[in-house]
Amino acid sequence: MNTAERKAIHDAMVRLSDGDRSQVRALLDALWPILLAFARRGVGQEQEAEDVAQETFLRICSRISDFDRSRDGLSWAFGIAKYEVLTQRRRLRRQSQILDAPEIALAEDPARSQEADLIAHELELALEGVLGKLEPSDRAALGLEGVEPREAPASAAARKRRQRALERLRSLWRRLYGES
Amino acid sequence: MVNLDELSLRGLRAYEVGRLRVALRVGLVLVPAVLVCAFEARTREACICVGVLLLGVSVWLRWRDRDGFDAVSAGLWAGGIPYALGLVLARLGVHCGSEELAAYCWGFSGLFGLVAGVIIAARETRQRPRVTGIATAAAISILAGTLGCLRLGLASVLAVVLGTVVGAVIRRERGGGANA
Repeated sequence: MNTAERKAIHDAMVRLSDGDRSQVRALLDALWPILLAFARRGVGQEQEAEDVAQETFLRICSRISDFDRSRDGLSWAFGIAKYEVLTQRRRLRRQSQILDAPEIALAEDPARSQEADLIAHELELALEGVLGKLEPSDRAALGLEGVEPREAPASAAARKRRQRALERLRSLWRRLYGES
Repeated sequence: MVNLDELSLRGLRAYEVGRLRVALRVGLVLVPAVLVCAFEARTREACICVGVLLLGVSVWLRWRDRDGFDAVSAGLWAGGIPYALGLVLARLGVHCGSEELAAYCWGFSGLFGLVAGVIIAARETRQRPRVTGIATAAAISILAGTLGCLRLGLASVLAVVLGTVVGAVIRRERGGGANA
């Protein structure tokens, strides 16, 4: 990126923070390829990168009134993008921990004792109980209703819905059985 | 694939919400100021009426653009003088309705307004020499000053209005270089 492009982005940000609403589209056109490339490097997957870039742009628009014009606009935008990338990474890590946990437990101990079987059985019952308290839409989002979710799993809406369902499941579990 | 037209619209919505959030922060200063004014039962209704008007105009100007934002800041800083001193005079028992203190009331109120007007014109002329900016800031200052001077009587409010206008005009003429 050359200095002129960088200055164009900064100027669009300044004008937008001054109240010139028409600069939203101009800023999007100038900033989108940069944000997307940054997000791709940050999260790796294309779909996730698009989500992060979108979220970053919306956050920039939302916080542009607080933009300090004495600072470089692009550096400010990268600061927000970096935060969004880290948030997305944390979210993905949490999701993969939850989804992989039962497989890891089984893999570690293929020949379980009767006591372990009993504990596992109790845990399954507890999990079924918690899953039973979930709304049907949440169960469907987690693929537990015997019907396919309406959106393809790769779509942002389906992932968001699944993430919310997982959060509600976690919250229910904590309420009934504490943190562990 | 992200639809950039749709993202631009969502960006504009996020922008407006962000601006409104920043504009509403002025309530943190104005709401307590109105409550202090409304503490006196005699002037409660008038205080609330002026306070709501001041709050509404301030939020709208701050939301609209940076010029409005700066005008509100200048107006509130300058209007804080007649507001605070008006409350102090009222506490000391000065009232424009009483014959022996009417002259003091008029004099002090006019002086406070004059100081506020000079501050506004000096600040606005330095930042952006436009009559509209000075007029907007003066209007905000008058409304803020009115909140403090309501207890002194209507004559005090009129003196503040007159003082602010005279102070702003004198400072602007002496400052020079102003264009409409």
